[in-house]
Amino acid sequence: MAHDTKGSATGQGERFLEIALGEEAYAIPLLRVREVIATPKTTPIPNSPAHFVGMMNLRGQVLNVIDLRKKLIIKPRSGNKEEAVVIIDVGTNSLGVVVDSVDRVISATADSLSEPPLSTKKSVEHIKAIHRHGEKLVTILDIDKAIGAAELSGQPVRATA
Amino acid sequence: MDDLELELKKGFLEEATQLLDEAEQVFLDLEGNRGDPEILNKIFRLAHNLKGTSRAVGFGEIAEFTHKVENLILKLKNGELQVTDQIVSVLLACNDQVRVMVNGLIENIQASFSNDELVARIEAVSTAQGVDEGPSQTAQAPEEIADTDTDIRPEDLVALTTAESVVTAELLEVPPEPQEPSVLNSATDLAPAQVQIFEVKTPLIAETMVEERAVVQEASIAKAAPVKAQAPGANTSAAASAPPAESQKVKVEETIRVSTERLEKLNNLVGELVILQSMIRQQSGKAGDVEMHKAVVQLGKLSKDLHGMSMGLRMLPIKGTIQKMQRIVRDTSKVLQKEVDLILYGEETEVDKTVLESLNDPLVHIVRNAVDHGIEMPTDREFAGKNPRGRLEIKCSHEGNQLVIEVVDDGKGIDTQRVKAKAEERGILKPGVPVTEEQLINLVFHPGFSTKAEVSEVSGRGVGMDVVRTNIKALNGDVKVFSQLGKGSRVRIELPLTMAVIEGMIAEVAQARFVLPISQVHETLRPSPKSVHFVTGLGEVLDLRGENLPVIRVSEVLKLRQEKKPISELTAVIVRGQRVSAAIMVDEIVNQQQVVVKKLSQGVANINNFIGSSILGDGLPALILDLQNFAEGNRTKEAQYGT
Repeated sequence: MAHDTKGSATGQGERFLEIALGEEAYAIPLLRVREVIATPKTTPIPNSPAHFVGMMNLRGQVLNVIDLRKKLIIKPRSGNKEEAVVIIDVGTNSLGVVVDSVDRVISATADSLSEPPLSTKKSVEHIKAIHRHGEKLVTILDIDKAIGAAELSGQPVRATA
Repeated sequence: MDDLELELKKGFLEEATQLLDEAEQVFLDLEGNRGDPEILNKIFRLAHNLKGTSRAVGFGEIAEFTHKVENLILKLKNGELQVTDQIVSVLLACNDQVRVMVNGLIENIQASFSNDELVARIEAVSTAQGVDEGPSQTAQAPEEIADTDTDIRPEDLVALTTAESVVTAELLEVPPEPQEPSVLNSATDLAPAQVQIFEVKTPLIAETMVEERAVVQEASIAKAAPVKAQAPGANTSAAASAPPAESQKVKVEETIRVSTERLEKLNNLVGELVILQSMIRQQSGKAGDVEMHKAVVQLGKLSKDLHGMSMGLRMLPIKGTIQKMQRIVRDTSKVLQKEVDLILYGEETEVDKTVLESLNDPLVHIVRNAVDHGIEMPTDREFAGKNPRGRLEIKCSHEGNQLVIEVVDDGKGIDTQRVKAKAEERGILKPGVPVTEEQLINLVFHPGFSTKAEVSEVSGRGVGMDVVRTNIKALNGDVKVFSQLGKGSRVRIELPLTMAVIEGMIAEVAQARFVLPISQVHETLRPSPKSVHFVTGLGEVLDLRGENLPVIRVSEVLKLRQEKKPISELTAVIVRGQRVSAAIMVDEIVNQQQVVVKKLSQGVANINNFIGSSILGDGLPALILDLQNFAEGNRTKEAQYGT
């Protein structure tokens, strides 16, 4: 299911945003990406999980920002000036995701994609496929699983005007 | 079904609900004023209107059903039938059925319904008074008019539904009814030449004026194709350009329908404006340019007004919701065989649309409770020296920054001794531990609590008031109950008027900043070392002018990393709730600022601690603390009730 790449979701010429987490190359479906910004100032949220960086102000909207490297347990680059935040759409809301760099837009086709190798180690649900570009391998992410969307949306929100 | 047809049908369904609400109201009025010809006229017009438009958009079943209701009403109008309780019940049932059909069609546009049972009921009451059921000549006339009414061309319907607004202007030869126009909302400001009013008179229904329709079209619609109605042998006169004509006869309220989505967007934009303005203000205060700062402050007042007005766009009069209560009272009292008069005050009080929607269920429950548990049986009331008819009042008003709704009954009140006995029986209260009257009355909010021996058909399952309070609290409001044995009870709902912008105190705790809603703050002070005590079991206690308040440290509740400073080095924020007061400790109060309350973003744990999030003057987000919750959360329910 999560590893079915030849069919629907990752089909002909679908585009992704290639990002770097640590020293590895990953990719997020371009349609889910709303914008890319420099790492903003955030307000920490009390009692939040470790990968939560805090809340930010995006033109009047309050969004959460999470560190995808922490969430996927990847060692961040040190002294990195290219660190950025990718704003992605999650349902009707948005979420900021900290990445080490934003590199390019790639186009994946059935030829370039392959299923990820089976692993018995830790959960690899967030990996949808592997994209090959010349010598380089880029991991296509299932972004909802990567950010833990299920647990996020399960939290009740108190509505105001 | 093509797009146009679908759109027309949807438009009808939207309008229909409004129509039905009105109809219900009029049916209830009819019961109180049986002979009133104006009310009968009004009902007839409503039914006629509904029938015509439903047929025009292709909802045959509704049209047919409404047609039967219309016939019944016609008989009432002509005096062939007398208005009885039974007939009103049938009319109300028919109204309900149409509502069911409308809702069903909203779910599934192809839905089909069977109304045989009700139709049989209609026939039964129609014939019960010994009147010949066969279609008489007088009954035929309205049908004829109706048939030609539906001689409407598709372009006309396009005009009807695509025009921003439609006016129903009511012309009567008899003194006008103060509530017209009933059904559809009215005009935009267009040049008189584009307004055409058509008037239909028929000698066959002598005293009645069939309602007029004025169709206002936007300039962009090329074809001017108004609705035409002709009846054989009737005078059809076309009155040319007349803007809200005969305005001395009719009060046409100028309104325009706007989608709530647009309003949301508008509110968001204005909210952003307020935030940006306070950011600019903070910077300009530092910059030292006096003239500019003055202008920025002025901008602040302007944006505050703008914000207030844009929030106000979503305000609706509470009238609709509380008028629905009349039906509830009627039905409930009939079932229980009690006699209850419902008096409404402050129907024009305005409430935010979202609040209004959430108010309906709690109000229904409270009203049912009052009729079921509060008002006694007529004989019991007489025995107690009261008027056998119970009196239930619903009063709505603005008090300061709050919306207050009170449901007052003159029933038997809450028997606190019975409550106490039941609570002890259930283990909610420990026998022998002293409890105040107020605490006993407030047990009504306890989940699963009901002093009724059995669950009655109407209420009494004991889950209601707890849910009511949760719902009201979710709107940042509160519910209070007051009662006097033998005299009656009063349920008071308090809701904040403007939910979106609040006055906040910015407080610093462990280098983080939080917003404290000023409305929740009673006072702030720096406690002297002498006033702080430690009591085993209660923890830290603050002696405030003789009163002992529990001390709650925000840094502890939110688990923020901070070394524990002595209380005298912190600032105490005194909060007074309904039952508990507390001293909530923050490091210091930094600032005071208006903030826009925003939804809490997902993934925030312990949402009960916070009312929402907001953006401060420097552009950074901050969480808004729910101080009431902090204060009450400190003491467990057991501590409150002494178990």
